[in-house]
Amino acid sequence: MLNRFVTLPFRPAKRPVWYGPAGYLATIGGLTLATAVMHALLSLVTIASTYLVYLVIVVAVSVGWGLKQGILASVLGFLAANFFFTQPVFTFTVAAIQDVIALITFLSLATLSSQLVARLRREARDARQSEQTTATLYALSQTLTGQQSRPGTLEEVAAQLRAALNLTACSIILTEPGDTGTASAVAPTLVGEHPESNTVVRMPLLVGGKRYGLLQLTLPPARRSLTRGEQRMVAAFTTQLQMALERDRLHSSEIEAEVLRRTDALRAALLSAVAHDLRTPLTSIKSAATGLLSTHVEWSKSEQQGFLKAIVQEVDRINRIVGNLLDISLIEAGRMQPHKELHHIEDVITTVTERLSPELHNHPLSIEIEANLPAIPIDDIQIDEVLTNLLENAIKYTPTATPVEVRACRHGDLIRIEVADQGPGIPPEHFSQLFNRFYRVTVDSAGAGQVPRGTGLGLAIVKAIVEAHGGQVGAANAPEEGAVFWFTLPICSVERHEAADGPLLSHIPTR
Amino acid sequence: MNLANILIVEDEERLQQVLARTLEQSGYTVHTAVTAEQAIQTVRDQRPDLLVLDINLPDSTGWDLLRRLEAQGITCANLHTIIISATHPDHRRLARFRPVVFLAKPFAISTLRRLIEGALVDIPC
Repeated sequence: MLNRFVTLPFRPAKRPVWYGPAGYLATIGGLTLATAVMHALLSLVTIASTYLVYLVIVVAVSVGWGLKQGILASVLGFLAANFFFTQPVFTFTVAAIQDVIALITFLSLATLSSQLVARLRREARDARQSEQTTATLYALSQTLTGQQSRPGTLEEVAAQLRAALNLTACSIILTEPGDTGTASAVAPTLVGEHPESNTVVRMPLLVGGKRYGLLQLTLPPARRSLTRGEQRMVAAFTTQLQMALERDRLHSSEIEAEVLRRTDALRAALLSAVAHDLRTPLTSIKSAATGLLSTHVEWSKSEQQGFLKAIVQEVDRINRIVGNLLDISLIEAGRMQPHKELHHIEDVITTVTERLSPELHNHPLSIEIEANLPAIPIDDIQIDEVLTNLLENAIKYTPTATPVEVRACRHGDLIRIEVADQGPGIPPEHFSQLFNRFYRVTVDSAGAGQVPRGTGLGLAIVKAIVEAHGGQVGAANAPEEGAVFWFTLPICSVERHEAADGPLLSHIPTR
Repeated sequence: MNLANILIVEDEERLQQVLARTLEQSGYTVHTAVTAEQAIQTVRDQRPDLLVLDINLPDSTGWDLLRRLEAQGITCANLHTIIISATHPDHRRLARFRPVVFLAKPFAISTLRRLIEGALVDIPC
């Protein structure tokens, strides 16, 4: 593919203005010097050696300066040989016929030599330029195909193009596909500066027939247009750039599609889990309510109370599931912001354990709170949720009658809260994903396959809330048996924020 | 009056209690189990006439429980079974364990009671 570009003409390197005249001077000077020396040594030189000396000068001038200087040297050499060394000397007349033949042979040989040398010279120069052009385009296409990160790549490409064409500035302006204007440029890349007075060449970048952006070249002050060779190089480069942009676009749409596909799969899993989780308490409610409505059963007062209590508790449970769903939507929208006030963690623990006492009555609960823990800046409603989720998990994943323990203690400038159970513990393969959204630890039962339980939202919410408070979460298996879920909360986050970072204070409004 | 023996296998404690109390009120003898393990033990010890079975159990699934009972010679043909589940009915498995009955959660107690009465019509009191 790159071979296409190899023969592209390339603007020759700039040469100083005195380069040509210097060649002519050198030609005349060289010939004069050679003639003077040979004339002084007239007794030692033959006519044949004067031709050879002039021929050497012709070739030397052709190599050094080119065809025109070579031809001049040939003609002057011919005249000098005729005038100074051919009998009769100091005239342009030639006496002997052999001398005429020798002179004409010299002229022909000198002209041919200078042409030959000049051609070799031109070819060498062309080869050098081709190599340079190829190297430039190769470097550009390497830059374009080698990387995926667009902004950095474009800058590099613009810099390379600017250097290759000696431009004052080069910019690549990308717009949204199909957009006709340049106003909504998404990645303006500018290398160099665009002075107002300079000529600017603009090339549209088309991807899939749609305008994708603009390549803008600012020429040096003295130049008004690109040479044909440069135009072809820019066209070739534009093609490369368009291909790279197209590939980039396809790549990102592929990623988007994959992300969407996975999100859809997760959402489907979530929906079915939520449906199941909602139906379970609904079943208790409906059974209790229809039981109470039964006409052919006489319920005692305490039985009626029991059913009504069950209904109320199951409604609370549904409400918590709905709350979790709302939390997840807040987290997804990036709006999970705690409204912090000073609270004692003990109060939150008491509230939660009292509310969950019906669920906890099958699990002996012990609470161990270090004395004199300071009040900490927390959103009590959110931390309540964290504890509720951790305790519900402990209840859900451990056998009846196994104890559950809640501990709170101070660790430096943190308060660490632990919920420990004595269930089967966490299978090691689940540790890495435990706090991921929608992830559920499955219960492996012989022959029944994996039985997932719950929506897989609880721990993700726990993590999001704790991290929004500046704390950390974790889980571990206890050395003897059971699992420990812990989280930390900073004691003095308000003061620290004040000292370290003023604007963060805005996240801690007083309510 | 002692109508028949019923075993309820349900890990949702509150639902289990509501079902047990209602069915006891209707005159049935009710046993309860939470895990598949407990259920197999109770079937062996109490010889129930009817099984009310949840699909999601803490240690297993209702289907797995039916398979294990089958291995002991207790099939849905000689032990009436009502599956209660919050998920969609799995028709392939329902066909496999015919004549098992499927009752989708949430349900009215009266519906469950009617299904039980229909299943136990041939059981002598």
